[in-house]
Amino acid sequence: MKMIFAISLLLNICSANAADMLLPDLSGVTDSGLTVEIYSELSPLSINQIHSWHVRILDRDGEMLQLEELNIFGGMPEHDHGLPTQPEVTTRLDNGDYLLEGVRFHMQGHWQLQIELQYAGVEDTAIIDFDLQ
Amino acid sequence: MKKDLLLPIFASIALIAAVGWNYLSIPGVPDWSEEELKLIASLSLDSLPPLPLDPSNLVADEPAAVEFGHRLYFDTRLSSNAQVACATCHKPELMFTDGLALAVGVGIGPMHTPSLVGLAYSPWFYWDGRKDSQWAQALAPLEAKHEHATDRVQLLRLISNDAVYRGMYENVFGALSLPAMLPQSGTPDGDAQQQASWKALEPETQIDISRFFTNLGKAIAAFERKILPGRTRFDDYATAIVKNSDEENTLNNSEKSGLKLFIGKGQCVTCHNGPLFTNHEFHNTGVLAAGRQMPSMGRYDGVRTSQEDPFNCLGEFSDASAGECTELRFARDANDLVGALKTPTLRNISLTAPYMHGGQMSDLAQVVNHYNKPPSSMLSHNEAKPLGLRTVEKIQLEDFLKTLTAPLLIEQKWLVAPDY
Repeated sequence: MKMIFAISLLLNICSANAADMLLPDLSGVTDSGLTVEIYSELSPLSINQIHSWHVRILDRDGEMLQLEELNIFGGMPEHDHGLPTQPEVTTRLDNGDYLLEGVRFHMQGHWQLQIELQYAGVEDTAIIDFDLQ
Repeated sequence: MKKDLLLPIFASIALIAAVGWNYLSIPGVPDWSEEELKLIASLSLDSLPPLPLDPSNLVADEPAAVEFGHRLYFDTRLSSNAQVACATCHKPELMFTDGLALAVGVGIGPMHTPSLVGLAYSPWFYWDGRKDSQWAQALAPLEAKHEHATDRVQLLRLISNDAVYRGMYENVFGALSLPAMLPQSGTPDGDAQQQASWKALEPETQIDISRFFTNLGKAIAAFERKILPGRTRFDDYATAIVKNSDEENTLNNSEKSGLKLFIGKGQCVTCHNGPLFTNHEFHNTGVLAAGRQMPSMGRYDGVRTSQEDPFNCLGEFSDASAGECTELRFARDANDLVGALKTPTLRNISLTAPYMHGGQMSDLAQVVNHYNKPPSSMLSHNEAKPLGLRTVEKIQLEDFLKTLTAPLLIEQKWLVAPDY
């Protein structure tokens, strides 16, 4: 039983630190120079599976920021439509990342994400373009 | 050369060139790039993941529920005129479609019957996605006036009075309790008389009856989960070229060229993606409304209906926790969904004519022509862009689509009605 507990604890630690050790699946910079890093629970990103993201916002010194608001929208400009879902930030995780639930892509091709955040009373935006295979 | 001969000669050359351009295929077998090979592999049944669990239906994979659902599926007594079963419109021999433009049950419905093949992989049901589980979907036709036209109280009477059905029901769901005073019919969604009978019932009785009704849907869904696609010539070809083995003549040159168009110039794979050739999502592709109908609002209405549905994943009749209802909780409601309808699977497409949500197109040639020159949408905007396919390319695309048909991956006993 102790062994199972130890393995479980180890897995939890690994899971909690997974985002720290990995390269982000997507990243971008806001208008004011904040860094947005996205760590996907479905990696590499692929179509037709609903999943969650860990979103990390860093200041110019690489320090994690606590936001007043964070919303993410997306779509395919070539097809003039949005994401098939409306993902929402549901909680802030212990490591400072924001948990974004309900992400799904339904088409291969060029996607554009719009990350809208509010920090210290100021609204800020990052646009992230990427191709999904 | 006389001047008056030049015009006919030039005209003849132009005519020959035009015919050649439209009808002559480019000789040779397509070469596949790494990117194309990945796309082809993603379409193969080899890439189909295991059947996803349905946490909203605890009996989804119970053999006794499958047996019960199979019996319900083929039983015409589940209708007001004793002539309509689920199998009336979703015929096994037509890949669970009916060959008609619009569904015909007790009356004529407003939409074309979609195939049930591989539907257990979809998060949404109906052309507009107004249901979020296979069991919730299965309930609606039972009470719809143009389909089975029965109701939950009539069904409770039927099941409880039939010894075989009652035994099967209780084996899966436990004892069937009947209220002391049960009207002849009743449902909150029926005509005035049905609604009046329903309202006269105690609230606890209403919930018990709706739970019984729900269980019928869950058993039917357990059976429908068995309806899975079989391996086609395309799948064999995909496996062969991905493994770089001898592909032999699994597909002919026209079919291979059609596959190249499907994943390239034809842009079909944009929506008809994944091993079921559908993204299970909603798109406005400018298909005209079915005859004499107003254009459908599509997913724009469907998403709201699903959110208000008492039988949805978050409702009291679902077995799922809120955390397991991610599709419903994060469903998107936006103006660009006006007129957007569900992408159907293309597997077995050669057996499921006519096509589109109102059965507006009788053959694949019409479908390909529609996407080659997409018209303006009656509502909102058409996502599809002109393709500029030559005549020979349209034929090749059709040839490829016809390679997607194969017998289902299901035991024969499930494809025929049981002995009643």
